[in-house]
Amino acid sequence: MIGLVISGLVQGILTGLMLAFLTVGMTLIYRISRLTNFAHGSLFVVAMYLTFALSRSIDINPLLFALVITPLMACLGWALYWGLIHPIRTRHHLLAVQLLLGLSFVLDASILIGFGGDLQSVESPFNSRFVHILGTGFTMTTMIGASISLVGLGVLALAIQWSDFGRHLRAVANDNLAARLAGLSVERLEGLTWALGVGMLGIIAPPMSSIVTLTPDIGLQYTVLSLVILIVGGMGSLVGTIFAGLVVGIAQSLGLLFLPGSFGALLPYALLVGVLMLRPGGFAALLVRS
Amino acid sequence: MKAVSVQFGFNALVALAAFGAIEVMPHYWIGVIFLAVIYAGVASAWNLAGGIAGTFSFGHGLFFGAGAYTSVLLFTNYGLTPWIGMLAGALIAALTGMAIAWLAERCAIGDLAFAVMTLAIAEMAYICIDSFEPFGASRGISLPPASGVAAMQFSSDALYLWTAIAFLVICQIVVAAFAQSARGYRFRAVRENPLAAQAMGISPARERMIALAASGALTALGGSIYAQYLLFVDPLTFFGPSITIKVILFALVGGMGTVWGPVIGTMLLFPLGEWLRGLFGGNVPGFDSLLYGLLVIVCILLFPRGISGTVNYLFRGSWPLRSRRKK
Repeated sequence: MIGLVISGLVQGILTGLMLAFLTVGMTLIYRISRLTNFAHGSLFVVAMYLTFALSRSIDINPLLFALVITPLMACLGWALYWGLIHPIRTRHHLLAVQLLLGLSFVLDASILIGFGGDLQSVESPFNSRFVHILGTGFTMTTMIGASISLVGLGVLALAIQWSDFGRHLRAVANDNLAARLAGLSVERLEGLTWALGVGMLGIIAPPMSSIVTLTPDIGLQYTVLSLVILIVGGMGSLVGTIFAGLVVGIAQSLGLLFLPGSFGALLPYALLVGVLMLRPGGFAALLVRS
Repeated sequence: MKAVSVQFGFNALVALAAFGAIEVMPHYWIGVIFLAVIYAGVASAWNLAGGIAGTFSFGHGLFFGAGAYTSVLLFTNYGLTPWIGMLAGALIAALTGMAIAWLAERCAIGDLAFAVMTLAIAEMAYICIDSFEPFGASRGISLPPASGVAAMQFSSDALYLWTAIAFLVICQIVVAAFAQSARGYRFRAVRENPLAAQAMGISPARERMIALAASGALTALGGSIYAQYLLFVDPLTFFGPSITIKVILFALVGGMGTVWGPVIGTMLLFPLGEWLRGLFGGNVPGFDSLLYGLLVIVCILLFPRGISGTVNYLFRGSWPLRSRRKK
């Protein structure tokens, strides 16, 4: 029993790290451009299918494809901002939500047309190697995915705290008008944030694509999961997002272990509703208040 | 009230025109038009809360499913006629809507959090029903065949279509009555600026509760009729997120916040999607969602007011009647 709980916890932390890294892109975009990326999950699925397509044609370790996919996704995010978001950025934010929802329809349908509706998975040599933590075996892919997330989150935190780009981003996030008056090109920074936020999906997509089973219609699930983490974390706080990602990951894996049937899948949603009822500010409100 | 009677007259006119068309329509298209009419009614109901009152819900699948399941369960377990069962469903949906709006107001959450919260509640309902054995879990429930008007099972599809049209007419009358009454103006005041509305003595909580309750009840009626047409309910069709998202996109293309926009949007988009699906369906699945998505993107970038809203904007005031007389 105790062993089961511990292995569930470790599994939850590993998944949670990856979920946090997945959501941080969305958090950044929300912080800087005040828009919620409802196409986040679909863009993630696009990145995973890119990995799948590359792994079918080139026979090297799929994790290396991140080197190609990340710049591609970053360009896509940048183009997305200038093509679709920039024209309507001064309008009501729910208009952008609908636009991005429409975009996610387009992405999902394109994947369905391009790859068909069959279940796919990416073969990785790391899937058959195991690492033992506290008596439970985890695949090498999971370990690498979680470590990439951990390192990525650390690098991102350092960059935002210490680099000029990070200072600019924080300035725009704190006061858009003041940043503009101080001579920052807010539009350019917003475009770069979209590139960064979407590009980060290209880093985490190769390990995730060997963990989960791919179908074209899972985009919305990832969007909703990211939204849950974003809101539970407190709408735009990076530290809150990381905490929320860990909590949602742990809740998911413990729910799958101990709750009957598919009720485990309820937990993230129940967590969201509960947090909104009790602490509308999310985890960030808890952190800041103390 | 004059404007309401004009709306009603227009409804009657549309119905008369439809009468001739339905008599000569092929069987397949009656099914498509039936679905389009149901979607149009639900889009209109969604628009009452999401477009007019600014209560942007992503969880209308919850109301749709609640209506369908209530009437079907009442019929299979107690033999209660769906005509009454659908009212019970509407009542349950209205109470649920009221509870959701109350919770959201009480916790003072923003627009976006409200949208995601309704999505989460609907997903929770979907997952619960999907693994709840007495309600048939994910297999759903089939209605026992019991032909007769009392059981709301008709011999011809045309009669189902007429029921759906009656539902759409009811939706339009309710939405038009709301939109043109003092309550409709209060809805819009709350949508535009809740704080200012409060300063004017309007209670945002009450207006939102009423809007979501009315919208939920109408959506539930649509769910019941659709269940009777299929003679079958399952969680994915009725509680799944796809119906909500489609309805929002239809309402958006037609024009959010206008009375006729959602109906026009659905009536144009849905049959178009079905026609394209028939045209390409065999070799290109997903073509209709690709089209919906592209249309929505183009629509938001070019005319964000939607079809109906753009027409209203172009014909605002009375410029078609503006004379050449010099000022």
